[in-house]
Amino acid sequence: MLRRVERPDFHIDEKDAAVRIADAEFPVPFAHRLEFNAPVHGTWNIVHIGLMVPDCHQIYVCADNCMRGVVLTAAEMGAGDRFSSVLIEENDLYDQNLETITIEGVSDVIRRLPYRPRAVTVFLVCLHHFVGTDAAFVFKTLEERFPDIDFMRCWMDPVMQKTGLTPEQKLKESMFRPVRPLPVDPGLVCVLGDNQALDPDSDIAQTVREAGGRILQLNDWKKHGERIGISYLRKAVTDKEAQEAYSFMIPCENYDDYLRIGSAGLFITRSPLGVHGVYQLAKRLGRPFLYLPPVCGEDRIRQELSKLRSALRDNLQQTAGAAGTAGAVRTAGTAGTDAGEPDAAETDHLEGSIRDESSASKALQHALGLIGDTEITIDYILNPRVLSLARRLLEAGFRVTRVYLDAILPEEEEDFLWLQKNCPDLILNATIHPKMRVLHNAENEGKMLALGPKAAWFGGTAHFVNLVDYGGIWGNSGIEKLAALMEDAWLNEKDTRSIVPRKGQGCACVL
Amino acid sequence: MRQVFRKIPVYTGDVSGVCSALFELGGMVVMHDPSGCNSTYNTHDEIRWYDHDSLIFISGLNEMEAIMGSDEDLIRDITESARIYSPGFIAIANSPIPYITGMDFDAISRLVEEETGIPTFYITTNGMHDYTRGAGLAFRQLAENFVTEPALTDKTALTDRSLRCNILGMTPLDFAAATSVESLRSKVEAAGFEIVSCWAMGDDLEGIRKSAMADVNLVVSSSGLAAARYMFRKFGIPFTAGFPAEGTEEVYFEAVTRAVQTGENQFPFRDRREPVNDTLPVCFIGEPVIMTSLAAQAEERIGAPTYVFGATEEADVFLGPKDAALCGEEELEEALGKLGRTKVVADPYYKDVLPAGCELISLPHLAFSGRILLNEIPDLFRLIIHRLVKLHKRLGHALALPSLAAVLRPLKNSGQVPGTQHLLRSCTRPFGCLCSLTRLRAIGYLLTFTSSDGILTSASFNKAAERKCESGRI
Repeated sequence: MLRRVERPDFHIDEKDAAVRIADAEFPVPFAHRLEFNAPVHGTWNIVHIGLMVPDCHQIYVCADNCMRGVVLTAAEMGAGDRFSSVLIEENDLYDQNLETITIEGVSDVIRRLPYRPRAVTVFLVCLHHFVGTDAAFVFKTLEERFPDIDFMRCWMDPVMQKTGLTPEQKLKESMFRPVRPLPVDPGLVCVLGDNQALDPDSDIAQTVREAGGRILQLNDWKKHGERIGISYLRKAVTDKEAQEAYSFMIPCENYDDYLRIGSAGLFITRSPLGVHGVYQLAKRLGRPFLYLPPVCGEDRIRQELSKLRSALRDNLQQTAGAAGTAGAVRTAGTAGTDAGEPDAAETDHLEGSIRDESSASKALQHALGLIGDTEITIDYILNPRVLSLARRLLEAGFRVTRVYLDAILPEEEEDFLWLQKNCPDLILNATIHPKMRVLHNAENEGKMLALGPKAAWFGGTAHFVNLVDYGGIWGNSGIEKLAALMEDAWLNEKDTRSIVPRKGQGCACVL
Repeated sequence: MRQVFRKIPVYTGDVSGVCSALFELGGMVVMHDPSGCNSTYNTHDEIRWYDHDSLIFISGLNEMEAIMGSDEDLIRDITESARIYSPGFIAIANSPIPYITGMDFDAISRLVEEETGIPTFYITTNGMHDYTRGAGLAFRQLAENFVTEPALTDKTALTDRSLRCNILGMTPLDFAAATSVESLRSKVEAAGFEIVSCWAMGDDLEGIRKSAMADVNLVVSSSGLAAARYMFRKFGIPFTAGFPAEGTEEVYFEAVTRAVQTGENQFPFRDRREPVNDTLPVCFIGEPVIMTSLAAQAEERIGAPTYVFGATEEADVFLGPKDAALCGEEELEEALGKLGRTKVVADPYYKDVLPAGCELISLPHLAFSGRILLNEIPDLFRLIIHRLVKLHKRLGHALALPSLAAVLRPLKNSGQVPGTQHLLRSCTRPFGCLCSLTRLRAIGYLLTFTSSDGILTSASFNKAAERKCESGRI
């Protein structure tokens, strides 16, 4: 029998771990201290993300303790055959600068693989930085040894993430490095840099479809023959119907499909962590780029759709002969900035085709009728634009009491200020503060509706919406679907204990 | 290359070993690392994390702190958290970056202790070793910091009382089945021993403090070795390596008694007897104390020659002349190739390194395949390994990953409901099937399966297997 480690018998208050939004500092409401990690693992890590590239093998060069997490991530995905590792030992640090063990280890893996990968992602780690490894030399040597393989230079270096790009941001740049410019296909829209597949019913997808475009994304709904990530959204649709209705969604099942990214006429990302990488790709190829974050306010959704329509209109007017031409990326929206209000003419043009604003509001009102005055908590895992979502729900009349986050995205400043002014008692709650080890409800102790798996665990509730990275939904249709998921969560309990510890929500999982 | 792992995972790392060892003792463990160690530990290596509020944190080290040292920040952060929780002790574990920058953790520990008045110690991990080393270092620090010479009143003559023992090396990384602690305790007590402490499941710091009252230490996994050696030198307490697997209790407890009588450390399963028949050899791969104990059981009951390939650090200490400590995938493949046709008892994730002719007998191990096969990990103290081997022989199957449940789930998700024929084709892993019965039922399958040789085809077999599965016998 395991002995339960009891919580301290003295009271631990929320001070420093939670704050009224009116009193919170922007964009860092909580001081950096020791960190607690909740048993909620639905977010994707670099293994999940890197394996989205088809026919690609991953090789990590790191110490045992660091290796353990990534090798078992791959194993839990059932993707162990696409993963290999090279262990760093003390002697490797003393004898040389890790170049030799990295080059020879990676070479040995490739030679012994039962198949020849088209591409290999090689992950170097914090240690390589600190001993001054010549990464350029490492990759130059590997490329000379294996000229038929595209090497992606990746990093698992979390020691750098607080002062620069995170490993995920770097990966989302490196994983597109092999993409070479192809003749432009103006109707091809690549939605990249996101972990969850874009919902074919989303406002983005339907806007592209209406404009006559097609969408290519890595983690699409046909991957490995399974409808990964979005199947829950279309339970009522048979495979055949789905095929017809969503034929504008192009599969990306092999490396050649992946290389077609080079012909895209427009690049889109919805993820703040995808902006850097996808922007760099678009810039290198000389193609337009849009950042369409999963905002939730009516006006903001309208603005983002306006940007999309404008870009699509411009793009479809191009001739296909502009492939790979030099020139700066035509950026319709960049990270951390807003596109601003559309001009009057543009608004007039769009007015007739903006869909579902009223449907979204009706869906929220319907959910409100069911959920009523129930306490609602939200976490940043569900939607990176968590304050935008909180604002929308509060405006709709829901009783949102608490938002779980550890920092606020700079692009959320407008929503932060609105909430400060209009909902000053909304609590911002840290997730990694040491007090959070005990400041959570026990299982089934909480009487609330949680939006997001972390909110569910902290709240101790079985009534929760299990979405990560907004689950691929977007816009007004996203709000509609979220409202439906909220109703479902309120009516039906989930097995929190079984669900939230699983890694990579939406990915393949053998657990 | 020895350091290349193309097919198999790596064992749990040393930092996770520290956390696992100290989890239940009411202390606070701080990993000085950027981020990955904490998530890896509580996702893959710690099955108690969801239910138990143990104080294990990470410092969130960043580039500038690593370069500049920033000792004062670490001390402040630890001190602040310590003031919130008043833990029984504070343990600080090192990781790769502070290791190469040469951070002075001994000094930091002293300063934290001065600030808080709480016993604080440094555990010399660096992220480049396996869990047996990390847990071993943690247990040794416990011994050094908390175990004191017992008072004279506690040292009554052996003739006046039953023998006292400590159990060293109990962590879920090696003993993940929920019944493990109780099973071992009941066996030890049934043999007439009094248990002073169990390092460190089902016990607390107060129990650990009394450990020097024991007459003997039972080292049930490699993780207990460092503390056992320390207590042998410091207090003259001998140890016995191994555990009483089903059917070996007599041999084992004789060795324990002999350790007390002679004052010499005992390795009852290191020098196993020579084979008495020409049965196929059985090879055991994994943590050496566990595997030598199970090998002794199998050898005793089957009469087959057994070999143990110790796959964790310092395995040599526990291995006999027939065994070998192996590092890495290539060495293992080479050694198995030399053995020829054999049965291999190991975690199923070793399957891919087995040469043709080897049959894998599945024995999942949390420290290797993590939580993937958690529900199939048996109570090693109740496991009857020779039955497993014999039954496997009757079924005559090769083992294959992923488990049956993993094979079937995508089919279910895609709307295809496999019939018996499909199950037959999928059923390449009989023990996975047996152990997955409950899981299969949970995901909505009616299970009918048979073996390719037709020996076991009836529903009664399924029922028998199910009973065994549910009773934790497999």
